[in-house]
Amino acid sequence: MIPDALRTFLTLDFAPLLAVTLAAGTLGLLGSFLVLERRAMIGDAMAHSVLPGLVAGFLITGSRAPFPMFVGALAAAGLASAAISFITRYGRIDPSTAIGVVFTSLFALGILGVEASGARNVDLDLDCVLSGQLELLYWRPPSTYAELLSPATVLTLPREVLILGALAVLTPLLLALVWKPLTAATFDRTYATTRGLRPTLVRSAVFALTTVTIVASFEALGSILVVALLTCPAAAARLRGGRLAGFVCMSALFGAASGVFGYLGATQLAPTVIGGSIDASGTVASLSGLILAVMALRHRSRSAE
Amino acid sequence: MILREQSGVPLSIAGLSVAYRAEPVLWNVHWSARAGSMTAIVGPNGAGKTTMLSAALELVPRLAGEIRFWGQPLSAVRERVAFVPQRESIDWDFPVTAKDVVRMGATRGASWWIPSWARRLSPAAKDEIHRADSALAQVHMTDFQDRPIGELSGGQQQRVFLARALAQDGDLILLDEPFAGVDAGTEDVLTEALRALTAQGKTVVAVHHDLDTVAERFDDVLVLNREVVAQGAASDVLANPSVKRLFRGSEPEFATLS
Amino acid sequence: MIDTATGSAAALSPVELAEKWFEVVSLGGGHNTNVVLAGVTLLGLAAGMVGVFSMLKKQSLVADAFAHASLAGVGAAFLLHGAFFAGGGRRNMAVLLLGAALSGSLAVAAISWLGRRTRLPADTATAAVSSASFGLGIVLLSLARRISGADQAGLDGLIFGSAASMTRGDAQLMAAVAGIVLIAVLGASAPLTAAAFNERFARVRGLPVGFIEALLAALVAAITIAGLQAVGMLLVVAMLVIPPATARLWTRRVPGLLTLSGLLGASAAFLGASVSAILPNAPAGALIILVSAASFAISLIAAPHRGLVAGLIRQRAVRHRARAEAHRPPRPIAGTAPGTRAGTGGGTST
Repeated sequence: MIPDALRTFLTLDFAPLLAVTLAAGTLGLLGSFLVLERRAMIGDAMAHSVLPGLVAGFLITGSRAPFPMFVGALAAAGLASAAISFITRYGRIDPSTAIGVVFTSLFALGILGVEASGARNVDLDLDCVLSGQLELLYWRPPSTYAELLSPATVLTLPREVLILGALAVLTPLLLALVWKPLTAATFDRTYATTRGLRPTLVRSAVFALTTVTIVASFEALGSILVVALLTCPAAAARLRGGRLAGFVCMSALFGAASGVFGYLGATQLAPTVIGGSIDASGTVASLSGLILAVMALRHRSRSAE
Repeated sequence: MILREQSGVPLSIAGLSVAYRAEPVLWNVHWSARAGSMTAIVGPNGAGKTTMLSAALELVPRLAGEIRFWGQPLSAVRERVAFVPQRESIDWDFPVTAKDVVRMGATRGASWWIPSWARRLSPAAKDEIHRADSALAQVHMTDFQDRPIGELSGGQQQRVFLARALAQDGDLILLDEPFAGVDAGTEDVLTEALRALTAQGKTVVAVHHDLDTVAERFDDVLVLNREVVAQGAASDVLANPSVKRLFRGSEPEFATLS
Repeated sequence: MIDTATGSAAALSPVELAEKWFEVVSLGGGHNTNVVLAGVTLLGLAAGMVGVFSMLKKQSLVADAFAHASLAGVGAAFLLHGAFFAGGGRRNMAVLLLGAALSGSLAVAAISWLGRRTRLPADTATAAVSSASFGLGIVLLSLARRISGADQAGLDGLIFGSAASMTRGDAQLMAAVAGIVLIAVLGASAPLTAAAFNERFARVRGLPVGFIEALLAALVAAITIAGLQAVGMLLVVAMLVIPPATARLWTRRVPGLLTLSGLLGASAAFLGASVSAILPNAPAGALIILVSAASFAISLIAAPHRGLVAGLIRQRAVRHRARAEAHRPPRPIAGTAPGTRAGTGGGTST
């Protein structure tokens, strides 16, 4: 039989821990390419823009059914990135300004939607938008070790965890498949085009996967954590130098580590220190920032060489 | 239609016009590269030199005009056309080594989709590695092949980029300002490598900024100033009074000509 | 401010709503509403003008990082004064805003430190610092709640904006800060322009560029802090970004940009806040931003020179001309018509 303490942990904390770790690793992996392409702020903008999509999905179907809200969020994130490139290109406005225009507009639309539609009463709470709903990921574990270790048990995990797990498997596979063209396209887009590699297509595929991961992570983790995990681990890994594959893996590792230790710190360590848990998403985000700060302090600046 | 039956001409351009938004950058350009020659494209700043290469490579949309490589569209002969972009367009902080960059040039067709650790499975891989290694040797960069690209000097970076084009083993090499901001040693290495190409019957077309060195390094010259100002053998074109007049006083480096 | 709208607006007909809106707009919505309306409009004017310089320096998103990071300061201030707040006393907005200003400034300093020390791209550093410090803010708030059991009421207002919960004193403070910023921008517009346009030139001319940059940062910070309550820390950056971006589509000259951007900011603020006053559940901050966004979208399509429609028309014309000339190879200029034609470029067929 599984002892009670472990049972409690499995019931309350296992699913959120798994969700945070899977999402953090995947976002760290995908964030490395955003950072390389200098599009970190676009990830930020997309994470903010998810909100109006969720609200629209909710308003159109009138329910909190996951699928329409997922589709709505995906559409909104896609719209945000399309609008940013459109405005930059045709309005001749510098990218950071275009990003500022687009994501604030969409986020304002989302807030208005939440407040005015009555969605707020149905638990599309604005606080959840920021810190997610990790605590709602609740799992009823089997009662014996034998059952716990059987493969079929995996499927009893909450839907969010399964989706994030699927993305965590799919992402490295896709990246491995398109690795060489992706490297060429990210390093030197012009050259990749002249070699007939369709860099736009390859990058769009990775970008689409990034969008899906942002949206899938959003509900459980909230917007702050998504942005932090897209940028901080990759920025920290970037300071280590080395070759591309090492950088990408390190970014995923930093992300996953922030997820595991941040979550355990907030839910297991904090209660013994201050007598109660603290916000887990916020802690994971802060920890990823701390890793960046440490790496930056250890970083040998080039001018000193 | 004008350009058919030109299978011996590596690059021919007819009626090419390109605009940046509604501002014409290149207007009604007609020009052909001579097979086995080295041509410099010169002209004042903003004359459309880089744009012409970009339009030929279908990197920027064109308003009008036809472009043929050996009488065929680019898509049919892509692997035979190698390109060395301007150094400014690259993020030098990118985590790749010199060897990684040159390997990109050597990679062809299906190899793009085979991961490097599975390279031994591909029969073409041996040839690719060989081409990359000999290209690195040709520009004297073998000793630096494992350095991150950002830790190389400007001249060394330019050599790596030329090596990437050499590794592709194309028949037409287009270069955008290959000699800009490089050291004297690199200039010699680049010139020698390009000369070796033309000796094999390959064709070199380079955007060039330094009128003083055009005659000694290139066979032919195309003078652009949005339109074609002059074209032909280097010595003839440079002796032309209108060409001299065009460059006089436009830029310090061109002023020395007059 | 929504005190005039406690009744359900859903029950009102469009005509009644319009009447009510007219009443608010003609300053008949009650003294409190008027103070908030005036304060927000002044804030919009000042933000529009300050934002022009941020945009010219391509630093639009620094304000966003400042605003996100301000939550950590709010959380820290909240934590330090937890007992005070828990006592049921009036929330001490000034202390919270001071904390916000401190942590926001720290974040901006951290971004520039990362940029100098590491060569990370600016946007990566900005996104990383702003999200991590916002996360820290959330942690500090949850900690404060845990320790002191303090009520978080009013803090959501700082995050998402809640003009409705502003007291008259809050609104007067906002108006005062906006007024000071406005005077500073008008007074210093010449050196600000010079420093934003060509930093090196400004240095050579002997302008104190370091001081001017610090001044701009302080003005941006003041606007952000002043706007926290009314617009919220997640949206306040929009007041600094959207009006200048809109103005940029219409004019390129700095005086025109300043005037237009200020006017756009003020009118969006006035419209958004007044509509919010008559509709329950329609937060002023979000409405202000949406009015701004609408003016941007219209300008993007219709502006005379940079607008999409104008651009498409011109592009069609030049393409037509190029196609018409393409089968007539011109003779090389050199040797035929010496000199004069070389510089005229594409203007040959007109």
